Amino acid sequence: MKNSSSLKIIHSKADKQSDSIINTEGFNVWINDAHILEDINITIPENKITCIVGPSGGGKSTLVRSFNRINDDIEGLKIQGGVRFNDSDVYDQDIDTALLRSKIGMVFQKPCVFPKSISENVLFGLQYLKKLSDIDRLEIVEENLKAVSLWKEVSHRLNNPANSLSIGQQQRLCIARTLAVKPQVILMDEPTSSLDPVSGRAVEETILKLKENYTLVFVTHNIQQAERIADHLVFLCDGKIIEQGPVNKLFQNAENSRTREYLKNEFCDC
Amino acid sequence: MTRKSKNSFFKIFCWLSVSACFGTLIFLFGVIFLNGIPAISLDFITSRSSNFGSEGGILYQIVGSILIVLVAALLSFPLAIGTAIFKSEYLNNRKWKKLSNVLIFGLNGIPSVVFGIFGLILFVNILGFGISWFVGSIILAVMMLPTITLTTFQSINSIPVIYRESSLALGLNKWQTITKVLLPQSFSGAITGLFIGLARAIGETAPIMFIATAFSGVDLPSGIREPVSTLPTHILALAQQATNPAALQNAWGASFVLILLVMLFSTTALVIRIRQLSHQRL
Repeated sequence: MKNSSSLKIIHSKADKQSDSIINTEGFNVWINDAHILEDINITIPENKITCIVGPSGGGKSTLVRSFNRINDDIEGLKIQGGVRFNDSDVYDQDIDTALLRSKIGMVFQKPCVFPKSISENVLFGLQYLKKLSDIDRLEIVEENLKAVSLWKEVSHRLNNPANSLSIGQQQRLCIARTLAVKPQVILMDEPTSSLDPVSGRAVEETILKLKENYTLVFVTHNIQQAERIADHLVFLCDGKIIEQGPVNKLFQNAENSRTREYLKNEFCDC
Repeated sequence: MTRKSKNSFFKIFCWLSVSACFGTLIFLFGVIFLNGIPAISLDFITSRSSNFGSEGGILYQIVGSILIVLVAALLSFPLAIGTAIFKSEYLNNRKWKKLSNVLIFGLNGIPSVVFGIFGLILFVNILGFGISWFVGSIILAVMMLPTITLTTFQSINSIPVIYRESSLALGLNKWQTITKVLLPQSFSGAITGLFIGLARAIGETAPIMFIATAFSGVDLPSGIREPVSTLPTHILALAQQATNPAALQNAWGASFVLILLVMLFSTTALVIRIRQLSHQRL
Protein backbone atom coordinates (compact mmCIF):
# COMPACT_ATOMS: atom_id res chain seq x y z
CA MET A 1 0.00 0.00 0.00
CA LYS A 2 2.92 2.31 0.62
CA ASN A 3 3.91 2.32 -3.01
CA SER A 4 1.62 4.99 -4.27
CA SER A 5 3.30 5.60 -7.61
CA SER A 6 0.22 4.34 -9.42
CA LEU A 7 -2.05 6.80 -7.63
CA LYS A 8 -3.46 9.83 -9.29
CA ILE A 9 -3.17 12.37 -6.59
CA ILE A 10 -3.36 16.10 -6.92
CA HIS A 11 -0.30 17.53 -5.24
CA SER A 12 -0.38 20.87 -3.59
CA LYS A 13 1.88 23.44 -5.18
CA ALA A 14 4.10 23.69 -2.19
CA ASP A 15 4.82 20.04 -1.82
CA LYS A 16 5.49 18.53 -5.16
CA GLN A 17 8.30 16.19 -4.13
CA SER A 18 6.52 14.14 -1.51
CA ASP A 19 3.77 11.64 -2.14
CA SER A 20 0.49 12.37 -0.51
CA ILE A 21 -1.43 9.72 1.38
CA ILE A 22 -4.66 11.54 2.23
CA ASN A 23 -6.22 14.30 0.25
CA THR A 24 -9.56 15.98 0.11
CA GLU A 25 -11.28 17.67 -2.77
CA GLY A 26 -14.05 20.19 -2.22
CA PHE A 27 -14.85 18.63 1.13
CA ASN A 28 -17.75 20.15 3.08
CA VAL A 29 -19.20 19.21 6.46
CA TRP A 30 -22.42 20.42 8.04
CA ILE A 31 -23.67 19.53 11.49
CA ASN A 32 -27.35 20.32 11.43
CA ASP A 33 -27.39 23.78 9.88
CA ALA A 34 -23.89 24.83 10.84
CA HIS A 35 -21.41 24.78 7.97
CA ILE A 36 -18.36 23.45 9.84
CA LEU A 37 -15.96 22.86 6.95
CA GLU A 38 -16.13 24.73 3.68
CA ASP A 39 -14.61 23.52 0.45
CA ILE A 40 -11.54 21.90 1.98
CA ASN A 41 -8.74 20.94 -0.41
CA ILE A 42 -5.91 19.50 1.60
CA THR A 43 -2.95 17.24 0.95
CA ILE A 44 -1.33 15.16 3.66
CA PRO A 45 2.23 14.16 2.61
CA GLU A 46 3.38 10.65 3.43
CA ASN A 47 5.85 9.99 6.29
CA LYS A 48 5.78 13.57 7.45
CA ILE A 49 4.20 15.40 10.33
CA THR A 50 1.39 17.61 9.17
CA CYS A 51 0.21 20.07 11.76
CA ILE A 52 -3.22 21.59 11.51
CA VAL A 53 -3.32 24.88 13.38
CA GLY A 54 -5.96 27.51 13.87
CA PRO A 55 -8.20 29.06 16.48
CA SER A 56 -10.60 26.89 18.50
CA GLY A 57 -13.92 26.19 16.90
CA GLY A 58 -12.35 26.49 13.45
CA GLY A 59 -13.08 22.89 12.46
CA LYS A 60 -9.64 21.32 13.03
CA SER A 61 -11.01 18.37 14.98
CA THR A 62 -13.93 17.88 12.62
CA LEU A 63 -11.47 17.72 9.73
CA VAL A 64 -9.19 15.02 11.17
CA ARG A 65 -12.16 13.13 12.56
CA SER A 66 -13.51 12.99 9.02
CA PHE A 67 -10.39 11.18 7.79
CA ASN A 68 -11.18 8.00 9.75
CA ARG A 69 -14.95 8.54 9.84
CA ILE A 70 -15.07 8.57 13.63
CA ASN A 71 -17.61 11.39 13.25
CA ASP A 72 -20.11 9.11 11.50
CA ASP A 73 -22.41 8.72 14.50
CA ILE A 74 -22.86 12.42 15.12
CA GLU A 75 -26.48 13.44 14.80
CA GLY A 76 -27.20 15.75 11.89
CA LEU A 77 -23.85 15.21 10.14
CA LYS A 78 -23.86 15.89 6.40
CA ILE A 79 -20.84 15.69 4.15
CA GLN A 80 -20.15 16.61 0.57
CA GLY A 81 -17.07 16.05 -1.56
CA GLY A 82 -14.41 13.42 -1.17
CA VAL A 83 -11.68 12.27 1.15
CA ARG A 84 -9.19 9.95 -0.55
CA PHE A 85 -6.88 7.64 1.34
CA ASN A 86 -4.33 5.93 -0.92
CA ASP A 87 -6.49 5.17 -3.93
CA SER A 88 -9.81 4.65 -2.22
CA ASP A 89 -12.67 6.96 -1.36
CA VAL A 90 -13.07 7.03 2.43
CA TYR A 91 -16.77 7.83 2.11
CA ASP A 92 -17.51 5.05 -0.37
CA GLN A 93 -20.57 3.09 0.70
CA ASP A 94 -18.77 -0.24 0.49
CA ILE A 95 -15.85 0.78 2.66
CA ASP A 96 -15.29 -1.23 5.84
CA THR A 97 -14.91 1.51 8.44
CA ALA A 98 -13.30 -0.86 10.96
CA LEU A 99 -10.60 -1.77 8.41
CA LEU A 100 -10.19 1.90 7.46
CA ARG A 101 -9.64 2.82 11.11
CA SER A 102 -7.03 0.11 11.50
CA LYS A 103 -5.15 1.85 8.66
CA ILE A 104 -5.80 5.37 9.94
CA GLY A 105 -5.30 5.27 13.70
CA MET A 106 -6.25 8.03 16.08
CA VAL A 107 -5.06 9.43 19.40
CA PHE A 108 -7.42 11.71 21.27
CA GLN A 109 -7.05 14.81 23.39
CA LYS A 110 -7.75 13.03 26.66
CA PRO A 111 -5.97 9.73 27.16
CA CYS A 112 -8.52 6.96 27.54
CA VAL A 113 -7.11 3.63 28.68
CA PHE A 114 -9.41 0.65 29.00
CA PRO A 115 -9.91 -0.71 32.53
CA LYS A 116 -7.49 -3.54 31.83
CA SER A 117 -3.80 -4.24 32.30
CA ILE A 118 -1.07 -2.29 30.53
CA SER A 119 -0.26 -5.15 28.15
CA GLU A 120 -3.93 -5.85 27.44
CA ASN A 121 -4.29 -2.20 26.47
CA VAL A 122 -1.42 -2.45 23.99
CA LEU A 123 -2.97 -5.57 22.44
CA PHE A 124 -6.52 -4.29 22.54
CA GLY A 125 -6.94 -3.43 18.89
CA LEU A 126 -4.97 -6.42 17.76
CA GLN A 127 -6.34 -9.50 19.42
CA TYR A 128 -9.37 -9.64 17.17
CA LEU A 129 -7.39 -9.38 13.98
CA LYS A 130 -5.35 -12.52 14.44
CA LYS A 131 -4.69 -15.30 16.89
CA LEU A 132 -1.44 -14.70 18.70
CA SER A 133 0.87 -16.88 20.77
CA ASP A 134 2.01 -15.65 24.18
CA ILE A 135 5.50 -14.97 22.87
CA ASP A 136 4.13 -12.95 19.97
CA ARG A 137 2.03 -10.98 22.38
CA LEU A 138 4.95 -10.13 24.61
CA GLU A 139 7.04 -9.14 21.59
CA ILE A 140 4.33 -6.82 20.32
CA VAL A 141 3.87 -5.29 23.76
CA GLU A 142 7.62 -4.74 24.11
CA GLU A 143 8.09 -3.37 20.60
CA ASN A 144 5.29 -0.85 20.87
CA LEU A 145 6.02 0.26 24.40
CA LYS A 146 9.64 0.82 23.34
CA ALA A 147 8.43 2.86 20.38
CA VAL A 148 6.79 5.31 22.79
CA SER A 149 9.67 5.15 25.34
CA LEU A 150 7.43 3.60 27.96
CA TRP A 151 9.07 0.18 28.15
CA LYS A 152 11.68 1.06 30.78
CA GLU A 153 9.07 2.63 33.01
CA VAL A 154 6.52 -0.19 32.91
CA SER A 155 8.30 -3.39 31.84
CA HIS A 156 8.25 -4.76 35.40
CA ARG A 157 4.51 -4.20 35.83
CA LEU A 158 2.87 -5.04 32.52
CA ASN A 159 -0.02 -6.73 34.29
CA ASN A 160 -0.83 -3.75 36.48
CA PRO A 161 -3.99 -1.82 35.67
CA ALA A 162 -3.35 0.78 32.99
CA ASN A 163 -5.10 3.49 34.99
CA SER A 164 -2.35 3.23 37.61
CA LEU A 165 -0.10 5.12 35.16
CA SER A 166 0.28 8.89 35.19
CA ILE A 167 -1.74 10.85 32.62
CA GLY A 168 1.32 11.42 30.43
CA GLN A 169 2.19 7.73 30.54
CA GLN A 170 -1.41 6.88 29.74
CA GLN A 171 -1.27 9.06 26.65
CA ARG A 172 1.90 7.33 25.48
CA LEU A 173 0.20 3.99 26.16
CA CYS A 174 -2.66 5.15 23.94
CA ILE A 175 -0.12 5.89 21.18
CA ALA A 176 1.48 2.45 21.69
CA ARG A 177 -1.95 0.85 21.45
CA THR A 178 -2.54 2.67 18.17
CA LEU A 179 0.89 1.66 16.80
CA ALA A 180 0.24 -2.01 17.59
CA VAL A 181 -2.48 -2.11 14.96
CA LYS A 182 0.17 -1.02 12.42
CA PRO A 183 -1.67 1.89 10.83
CA GLN A 184 -0.19 3.91 7.96
CA VAL A 185 -1.49 7.19 9.27
CA ILE A 186 -1.95 8.36 12.85
CA LEU A 187 -4.32 11.23 13.51
CA MET A 188 -3.63 13.13 16.70
CA ASP A 189 -6.26 15.51 18.02
CA GLU A 190 -4.43 17.84 20.45
CA PRO A 191 -2.78 14.89 22.20
CA THR A 192 -0.72 17.05 24.54
CA SER A 193 -3.25 19.68 25.53
CA SER A 194 -4.52 17.81 28.60
CA LEU A 195 -0.98 16.95 29.76
CA ASP A 196 1.47 18.82 31.94
CA PRO A 197 4.42 20.44 30.04
CA VAL A 198 6.92 17.67 30.89
CA SER A 199 4.60 14.86 29.78
CA GLY A 200 3.68 16.94 26.76
CA ARG A 201 7.34 17.15 25.75
CA ALA A 202 7.72 13.38 26.21
CA VAL A 203 4.78 12.82 23.87
CA GLU A 204 6.27 15.30 21.36
CA GLU A 205 9.57 13.42 21.36
CA THR A 206 7.70 10.17 20.80
CA ILE A 207 5.91 11.73 17.85
CA LEU A 208 9.15 12.97 16.26
CA LYS A 209 10.54 9.43 16.46
CA LEU A 210 7.47 8.01 14.75
CA LYS A 211 7.63 9.99 11.53
CA GLU A 212 10.15 7.62 9.94
CA ASN A 213 7.51 4.94 9.72
CA TYR A 214 4.21 6.73 9.91
CA THR A 215 2.35 9.65 8.47
CA LEU A 216 1.20 11.90 11.28
CA VAL A 217 -1.56 14.44 11.26
CA PHE A 218 -1.37 16.56 14.35
CA VAL A 219 -3.99 19.05 15.46
CA THR A 220 -2.81 21.73 17.82
CA HIS A 221 -3.65 25.26 18.81
CA ASN A 222 -0.14 25.70 20.15
CA ILE A 223 1.87 27.50 17.47
CA GLN A 224 5.24 26.94 19.19
CA GLN A 225 4.51 23.24 19.28
CA ALA A 226 3.64 23.23 15.59
CA GLU A 227 6.90 25.02 14.81
CA ARG A 228 8.86 22.41 16.81
CA ILE A 229 7.42 19.29 15.26
CA ALA A 230 5.74 20.05 11.93
CA ASP A 231 7.10 19.42 8.45
CA HIS A 232 3.97 20.57 6.76
CA LEU A 233 1.56 23.13 8.09
CA VAL A 234 -2.12 23.69 7.43
CA PHE A 235 -3.79 26.85 8.71
CA LEU A 236 -7.51 26.38 9.18
CA CYS A 237 -9.74 29.21 10.28
CA ASP A 238 -13.51 29.40 10.48
CA GLY A 239 -13.92 26.19 8.49
CA LYS A 240 -11.73 27.29 5.60
CA ILE A 241 -8.13 26.51 4.66
CA ILE A 242 -6.31 29.81 4.64
CA GLU A 243 -2.92 28.43 3.63
CA GLN A 244 -0.95 25.19 3.61
CA GLY A 245 2.67 24.34 2.83
CA PRO A 246 6.08 23.45 4.28
CA VAL A 247 6.44 24.72 7.80
CA ASN A 248 9.46 26.93 7.11
CA LYS A 249 7.77 28.66 4.26
CA LEU A 250 4.66 29.46 6.26
CA PHE A 251 6.56 30.72 9.26
CA GLN A 252 9.06 32.79 7.28
CA ASN A 253 7.24 33.79 4.17
CA ALA A 254 3.55 33.09 4.26
CA GLU A 255 1.60 34.26 1.24
CA ASN A 256 -1.53 35.18 3.12
CA SER A 257 -1.46 38.08 5.54
CA ARG A 258 -3.89 36.31 7.87
CA THR A 259 -1.48 33.36 8.14
CA ARG A 260 1.37 35.73 9.00
CA GLU A 261 -0.79 37.46 11.57
CA TYR A 262 -1.91 34.21 13.18
CA LEU A 263 1.53 32.58 13.31
CA LYS A 264 3.03 35.75 14.75
CA ASN A 265 0.36 36.99 17.12
CA GLU A 266 -1.97 33.98 17.50
CA PHE A 267 -4.74 36.20 16.29
CA CYS A 268 -7.07 35.49 13.43
CA ASP A 269 -9.61 37.86 12.01
CA CYS A 270 -11.59 35.57 9.74
CA MET B 1 -40.17 34.74 57.98
CA THR B 2 -36.57 35.69 58.39
CA ARG B 3 -33.83 34.06 56.41
CA LYS B 4 -32.62 32.21 59.47
CA SER B 5 -36.02 30.86 60.46
CA LYS B 6 -36.68 29.78 56.87
CA ASN B 7 -33.45 27.89 56.96
CA SER B 8 -34.29 26.08 60.19
CA PHE B 9 -37.84 25.42 58.98
CA PHE B 10 -36.53 23.50 55.96
CA LYS B 11 -34.02 21.68 58.08
CA ILE B 12 -36.75 20.56 60.47
CA PHE B 13 -38.96 19.56 57.54
CA CYS B 14 -36.22 17.33 56.13
CA TRP B 15 -35.58 15.79 59.52
CA LEU B 16 -39.29 15.08 59.98
CA SER B 17 -39.51 13.48 56.52
CA VAL B 18 -36.62 11.17 57.12
CA SER B 19 -37.94 10.27 60.58
CA ALA B 20 -41.36 9.43 59.13
CA CYS B 21 -39.76 7.17 56.50
CA PHE B 22 -37.49 5.37 58.87
CA GLY B 23 -40.16 5.21 61.55
CA THR B 24 -42.58 3.46 59.20
CA LEU B 25 -39.90 1.08 58.05
CA ILE B 26 -38.79 0.22 61.57
CA PHE B 27 -42.40 -0.19 62.71
CA LEU B 28 -43.15 -2.58 59.83
CA PHE B 29 -40.02 -4.62 60.30
CA GLY B 30 -40.59 -4.64 64.06
CA VAL B 31 -44.14 -5.97 63.78
CA ILE B 32 -43.20 -8.63 61.25
CA PHE B 33 -40.13 -9.58 63.24
CA LEU B 34 -41.94 -9.82 66.59
CA ASN B 35 -44.86 -11.78 65.16
CA GLY B 36 -42.82 -13.85 62.74
CA ILE B 37 -40.02 -15.03 65.02
CA PRO B 38 -42.25 -17.32 67.17
CA ALA B 39 -43.32 -19.17 64.01
CA ILE B 40 -39.79 -19.69 62.71
CA SER B 41 -38.13 -22.99 63.42
CA LEU B 42 -35.98 -25.38 61.43
CA ASP B 43 -39.05 -27.54 61.05
CA PHE B 44 -41.06 -24.57 59.68
CA ILE B 45 -38.69 -23.89 56.81
CA THR B 46 -37.87 -27.52 55.99
CA SER B 47 -41.27 -29.18 55.97
CA ARG B 48 -44.29 -28.96 53.67
CA SER B 49 -47.53 -27.34 54.68
CA SER B 50 -50.67 -29.25 55.53
CA ASN B 51 -54.26 -28.51 56.48
CA PHE B 52 -54.45 -25.48 54.11
CA GLY B 53 -51.24 -24.09 55.51
CA SER B 54 -52.30 -23.74 59.12
CA GLU B 55 -50.05 -26.66 60.01
CA GLY B 56 -46.61 -27.67 58.84
CA GLY B 57 -43.99 -25.47 57.22
CA ILE B 58 -43.34 -23.47 54.05
CA LEU B 59 -40.58 -25.42 52.31
CA TYR B 60 -42.47 -25.77 49.01
CA GLN B 61 -43.49 -22.14 49.10
CA ILE B 62 -39.86 -21.05 49.46
CA VAL B 63 -38.78 -23.40 46.65
CA GLY B 64 -41.73 -22.30 44.47
CA SER B 65 -41.01 -18.59 44.98
CA ILE B 66 -37.31 -18.94 44.23
CA LEU B 67 -37.94 -21.18 41.20
CA ILE B 68 -40.48 -18.83 39.66
CA VAL B 69 -38.35 -15.67 40.05
CA LEU B 70 -35.06 -17.26 39.03
CA VAL B 71 -36.55 -18.56 35.78
CA ALA B 72 -38.15 -15.14 35.29
CA ALA B 73 -34.71 -13.58 35.73
CA LEU B 74 -33.16 -15.96 33.18
CA LEU B 75 -35.86 -15.06 30.66
CA SER B 76 -35.76 -11.33 31.34
CA PHE B 77 -32.01 -10.66 31.63
CA PRO B 78 -30.92 -11.27 28.01
CA LEU B 79 -33.93 -9.36 26.66
CA ALA B 80 -33.21 -6.45 28.99
CA ILE B 81 -29.53 -6.34 27.98
CA GLY B 82 -30.48 -6.41 24.30
CA THR B 83 -33.05 -3.65 24.76
CA ALA B 84 -30.62 -1.53 26.77
CA ILE B 85 -27.88 -1.90 24.13
CA PHE B 86 -30.33 -1.02 21.37
CA LYS B 87 -31.61 2.01 23.26
CA SER B 88 -28.15 3.28 24.13
CA GLU B 89 -26.13 2.44 21.01
CA TYR B 90 -28.46 2.11 18.05
CA LEU B 91 -31.26 4.58 18.74
CA ASN B 92 -29.90 7.87 17.44
CA ASN B 93 -33.11 9.70 16.68
CA ARG B 94 -34.33 11.87 19.53
CA LYS B 95 -38.01 11.14 18.83
CA TRP B 96 -37.47 7.39 18.95
CA LYS B 97 -35.49 7.76 22.15
CA LYS B 98 -38.42 9.57 23.75
CA LEU B 99 -40.83 6.95 22.48
CA SER B 100 -38.70 4.16 23.91
CA ASN B 101 -38.77 5.90 27.29
CA VAL B 102 -42.54 6.20 27.14
CA LEU B 103 -42.84 2.51 26.30
CA ILE B 104 -40.49 1.34 29.04
CA PHE B 105 -42.00 3.56 31.73
CA GLY B 106 -45.44 2.58 30.47
CA LEU B 107 -44.63 -1.09 30.89
CA ASN B 108 -43.32 -0.33 34.36
CA GLY B 109 -46.53 1.48 35.28
CA ILE B 110 -48.96 -1.29 34.39
CA PRO B 111 -50.66 -2.50 37.60
CA SER B 112 -49.58 -6.00 38.49
CA VAL B 113 -53.11 -7.39 38.59
CA VAL B 114 -53.48 -6.41 34.93
CA PHE B 115 -50.50 -8.62 34.15
CA GLY B 116 -52.28 -11.41 36.01
CA ILE B 117 -55.46 -11.03 33.99
CA PHE B 118 -53.47 -10.69 30.77
CA GLY B 119 -51.63 -13.94 31.57
CA LEU B 120 -54.88 -15.66 32.42
CA ILE B 121 -56.53 -14.66 29.16
CA LEU B 122 -53.53 -15.25 26.89
CA PHE B 123 -51.86 -18.33 28.31
CA VAL B 124 -54.64 -20.12 30.14
CA ASN B 125 -57.74 -19.30 28.09
CA ILE B 126 -56.45 -18.69 24.57
CA LEU B 127 -53.33 -20.86 24.43
CA GLY B 128 -54.72 -23.48 26.80
CA PHE B 129 -51.51 -23.72 28.80
CA GLY B 130 -53.27 -24.45 32.07
CA ILE B 131 -52.05 -23.27 35.48
CA SER B 132 -48.26 -23.37 35.17
CA TRP B 133 -45.39 -21.90 37.15
CA PHE B 134 -43.54 -21.31 33.87
CA VAL B 135 -46.31 -19.01 32.65
CA GLY B 136 -45.91 -17.16 35.96
CA SER B 137 -42.19 -16.82 35.24
CA ILE B 138 -42.94 -15.38 31.79
CA ILE B 139 -45.30 -12.79 33.28
CA LEU B 140 -42.85 -11.87 36.04
CA ALA B 141 -40.08 -11.64 33.41
CA VAL B 142 -42.15 -9.04 31.53
CA MET B 143 -42.69 -7.16 34.80
CA MET B 144 -38.98 -7.16 35.63
CA LEU B 145 -37.99 -6.11 32.12
CA PRO B 146 -38.30 -2.31 32.54
CA THR B 147 -36.33 -2.27 35.79
CA ILE B 148 -33.42 -4.29 34.42
CA THR B 149 -33.50 -2.49 31.08
CA LEU B 150 -33.37 0.99 32.61
CA THR B 151 -30.61 0.15 35.10
CA THR B 152 -28.53 -1.47 32.36
CA PHE B 153 -29.23 1.39 29.95
CA GLN B 154 -28.13 3.94 32.52
CA SER B 155 -24.88 2.17 33.18
CA ILE B 156 -24.09 1.71 29.46
CA ASN B 157 -25.11 5.25 28.64
CA SER B 158 -22.98 6.74 31.42
CA ILE B 159 -19.78 5.34 29.88
CA PRO B 160 -18.04 8.37 28.33
CA VAL B 161 -18.12 8.59 24.51
CA ILE B 162 -14.33 8.57 24.43
CA TYR B 163 -14.31 4.85 25.31
CA ARG B 164 -16.44 4.09 22.27
CA GLU B 165 -14.33 6.33 20.04
CA SER B 166 -11.05 4.88 21.36
CA SER B 167 -12.27 1.39 20.61
CA LEU B 168 -13.62 2.28 17.16
CA ALA B 169 -10.41 4.15 16.36
CA LEU B 170 -8.45 0.93 16.99
CA GLY B 171 -10.42 -0.76 14.23
CA LEU B 172 -12.95 -2.62 16.33
CA ASN B 173 -16.41 -2.64 14.84
CA LYS B 174 -19.51 -1.58 16.70
CA TRP B 175 -20.40 -5.02 17.95
CA GLN B 176 -16.87 -5.68 19.24
CA THR B 177 -16.95 -2.28 20.94
CA ILE B 178 -20.22 -3.23 22.64
CA THR B 179 -19.07 -6.67 23.80
CA LYS B 180 -15.46 -5.85 24.67
CA VAL B 181 -15.70 -2.31 26.01
CA LEU B 182 -19.24 -1.34 26.96
CA LEU B 183 -20.70 -4.55 28.39
CA PRO B 184 -17.77 -5.38 30.71
CA GLN B 185 -17.98 -1.86 32.14
CA SER B 186 -21.74 -1.91 32.60
CA PHE B 187 -22.22 -5.50 33.66
CA SER B 188 -22.36 -4.79 37.38
CA GLY B 189 -25.02 -2.17 36.68
CA ALA B 190 -27.04 -4.80 34.85
CA ILE B 191 -26.64 -7.25 37.74
CA THR B 192 -27.78 -4.55 40.17
CA GLY B 193 -30.90 -4.06 38.07
CA LEU B 194 -31.44 -7.81 37.99
CA PHE B 195 -31.41 -8.06 41.77
CA ILE B 196 -33.71 -5.04 42.17
CA GLY B 197 -36.05 -6.77 39.71
CA LEU B 198 -35.80 -10.03 41.65
CA ALA B 199 -36.54 -8.28 44.93
CA ARG B 200 -39.66 -6.78 43.41
CA ALA B 201 -40.81 -9.91 41.59
CA ILE B 202 -40.53 -12.30 44.53
CA GLY B 203 -43.09 -10.29 46.48
CA GLU B 204 -45.64 -10.11 43.66
CA THR B 205 -48.95 -11.83 44.28
CA ALA B 206 -51.46 -10.53 41.77
CA PRO B 207 -49.69 -11.43 38.52
CA ILE B 208 -49.17 -15.07 39.45
CA MET B 209 -52.16 -15.96 41.61
CA PHE B 210 -54.47 -16.80 38.70
CA ILE B 211 -52.02 -18.48 36.41
CA ALA B 212 -49.11 -20.06 38.21
CA THR B 213 -50.01 -21.02 41.72
CA ALA B 214 -52.31 -23.26 43.67
CA PHE B 215 -53.20 -22.45 47.23
CA SER B 216 -52.89 -25.88 48.77
CA GLY B 217 -51.98 -29.48 48.15
CA VAL B 218 -49.08 -28.67 45.84
CA ASP B 219 -46.03 -30.86 45.41
CA LEU B 220 -42.74 -29.81 43.91
CA PRO B 221 -43.38 -29.46 40.16
CA SER B 222 -42.12 -32.24 37.92
CA GLY B 223 -42.68 -30.35 34.66
CA ILE B 224 -43.23 -26.84 33.40
CA ARG B 225 -47.01 -27.15 33.10
CA GLU B 226 -47.64 -27.61 36.82
CA PRO B 227 -48.53 -25.06 39.45
CA VAL B 228 -46.39 -24.25 42.45
CA SER B 229 -47.14 -22.56 45.72
CA THR B 230 -45.31 -19.35 46.50
CA LEU B 231 -44.75 -17.29 49.65
CA PRO B 232 -46.93 -14.28 48.74
CA THR B 233 -49.89 -16.38 47.54
CA HIS B 234 -49.48 -18.60 50.62
CA ILE B 235 -49.63 -15.52 52.86
CA LEU B 236 -52.76 -14.40 51.02
CA ALA B 237 -54.40 -17.79 51.57
CA LEU B 238 -53.46 -17.84 55.25
CA ALA B 239 -54.68 -14.29 55.81
CA GLN B 240 -58.11 -15.41 54.62
CA GLN B 241 -58.21 -17.83 57.55
CA ALA B 242 -57.36 -15.06 60.02
CA THR B 243 -59.74 -16.45 62.62
CA ASN B 244 -57.48 -19.45 63.01
CA PRO B 245 -54.56 -18.43 65.28
CA ALA B 246 -52.33 -21.22 63.91
CA ALA B 247 -52.86 -20.02 60.34
CA LEU B 248 -52.17 -16.43 61.35
CA GLN B 249 -48.99 -17.47 63.11
CA ASN B 250 -47.80 -19.20 59.92
CA ALA B 251 -48.74 -16.13 57.87
CA TRP B 252 -46.45 -14.00 60.03
CA GLY B 253 -43.69 -16.59 59.73
CA ALA B 254 -44.05 -16.74 55.94
CA SER B 255 -44.03 -12.92 55.78
CA PHE B 256 -40.85 -12.84 57.78
CA VAL B 257 -39.14 -15.32 55.42
CA LEU B 258 -40.37 -13.37 52.39
CA ILE B 259 -38.99 -10.11 53.82
CA LEU B 260 -35.66 -11.84 54.42
CA LEU B 261 -35.52 -12.99 50.78
CA VAL B 262 -36.39 -9.50 49.50
CA MET B 263 -33.73 -7.99 51.74
CA LEU B 264 -31.21 -10.56 50.52
CA PHE B 265 -31.80 -9.51 46.91
CA SER B 266 -31.89 -5.79 47.70
CA THR B 267 -28.70 -5.81 49.74
CA THR B 268 -26.94 -7.87 47.06
CA ALA B 269 -27.94 -5.18 44.56
CA LEU B 270 -26.67 -2.49 46.94
CA VAL B 271 -23.36 -4.24 47.57
CA ILE B 272 -22.71 -4.66 43.84
CA ARG B 273 -23.61 -1.01 43.28
CA ILE B 274 -21.24 0.21 46.00
CA ARG B 275 -18.45 -2.01 44.69
CA GLN B 276 -18.98 -0.66 41.19
CA LEU B 277 -18.85 2.94 42.40
CA SER B 278 -15.70 2.42 44.41
CA HIS B 279 -14.14 0.61 41.43
CA GLN B 280 -14.95 3.55 39.15
CA ARG B 281 -13.24 5.95 41.51
CA LEU B 282 -9.96 4.01 41.37
